[in-house]
Amino acid sequence: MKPFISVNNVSYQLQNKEILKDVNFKANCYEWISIIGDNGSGKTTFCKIMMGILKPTKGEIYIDGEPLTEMALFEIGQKIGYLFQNVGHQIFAPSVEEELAFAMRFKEIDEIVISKKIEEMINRFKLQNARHIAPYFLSQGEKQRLAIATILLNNPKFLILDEPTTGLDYERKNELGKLLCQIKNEGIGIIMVSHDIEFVKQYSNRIFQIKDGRVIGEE
Amino acid sequence: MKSSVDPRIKIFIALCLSTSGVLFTRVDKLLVILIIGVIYGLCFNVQYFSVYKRIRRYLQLFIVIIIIQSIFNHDGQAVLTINGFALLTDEGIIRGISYLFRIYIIVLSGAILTTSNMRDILQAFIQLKLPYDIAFMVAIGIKFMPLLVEEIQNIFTSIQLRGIDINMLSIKKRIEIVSYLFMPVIMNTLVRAKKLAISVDARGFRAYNKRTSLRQLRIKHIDEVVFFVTIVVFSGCIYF
Repeated sequence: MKPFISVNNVSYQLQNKEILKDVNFKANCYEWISIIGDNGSGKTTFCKIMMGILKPTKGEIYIDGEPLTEMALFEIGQKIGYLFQNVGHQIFAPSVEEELAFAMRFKEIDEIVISKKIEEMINRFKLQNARHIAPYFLSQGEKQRLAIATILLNNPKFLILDEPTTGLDYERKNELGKLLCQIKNEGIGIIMVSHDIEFVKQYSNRIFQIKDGRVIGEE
Repeated sequence: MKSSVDPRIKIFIALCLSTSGVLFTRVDKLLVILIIGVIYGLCFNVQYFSVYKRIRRYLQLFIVIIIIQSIFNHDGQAVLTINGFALLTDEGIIRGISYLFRIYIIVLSGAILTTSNMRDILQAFIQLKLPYDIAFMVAIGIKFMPLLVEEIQNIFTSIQLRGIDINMLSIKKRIEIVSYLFMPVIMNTLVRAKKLAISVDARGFRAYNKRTSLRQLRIKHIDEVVFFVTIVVFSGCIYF
């Protein structure tokens, strides 16, 4: 089967420091891949390169068979959803409802369809009590659920999550794990960067480790 | 020269440059000030390429403003006329170019200050008898600028990753998108400022009236020479 994400010999250099060195990586839909590593090992950089936010200094990346260099950010966003390490950077509308409607309104989708989809997402991600609240006042768990909901409205085939368990207690982590499992069962692949080894082992199909910019192991 | 010139002298030069840039109206004088600024920049080892990279994204905006300045100025000879209406005049173009020079002079003034480290600039403000609270606020403000820029970039990226092709949007919708950028940035800045205020209070900021510094800046001969040259140069600019 052709991999959905294919990373071939990718290196990334910043101010003469090599952050990633000859990384090779393949990811298929229907699997949950976790990337672990120390602080500053290059995990977030790797995610940003796969999303086209950073340009690799060497190597090629293919998304669904298409070279990443030929895709604009808005096109990448329709294939892969990205949850930022600081989730506050991706929610910006004055209320939860408007946050969910944001992209659809700019794409001039019919208001009836928008309302239906908002309702669906609010129920699915348990945001009923927060629908009129400004996203800044939500808890970390609610913010993450809202961000994932906005990503899923784009119908991506893959999710890249940068440290999604940070700031979540045990119960919220379990809720997030179950939610992501549901998403994976719908055929959406997941790449997750995390320090939380317990969480990673519980849910992942494959685990990679990045050390000093190199992928040094896979379990 | 970069490390040897006292930050107070650099502040003085930046002040002279930016004040001249704002006060002078003649395009030839502004050009002279710009050239002087470039020479100072070269002496202080300003990284012109990194300055260019930072302001590159605003170049289009500058050009639009220059054109607008030219269009709304009807003095002078018409250069471009549409249906009898003088769209561009030579005076308008000169005013637009003056505006561009002014922007570059102000950017250069800021770039000269960045050639000293932040601690030295803060110390310079303190020794110039600026109240420590204000000097500290200025230093913190400058320190947090890159974080603000990163935040704006992330929000802008996340908007595009939601499948919105900004290039295809109408101007009205683009302005609407920009309005979405401000709210989280202001909100996060306020939250960060509040946390920082609690943190500095907890660490005894302003606990005592008198504050001492281990490192003191001292004026050297080269500083005196640079100071004297600056006074001569800018006095000459005012006189001529």
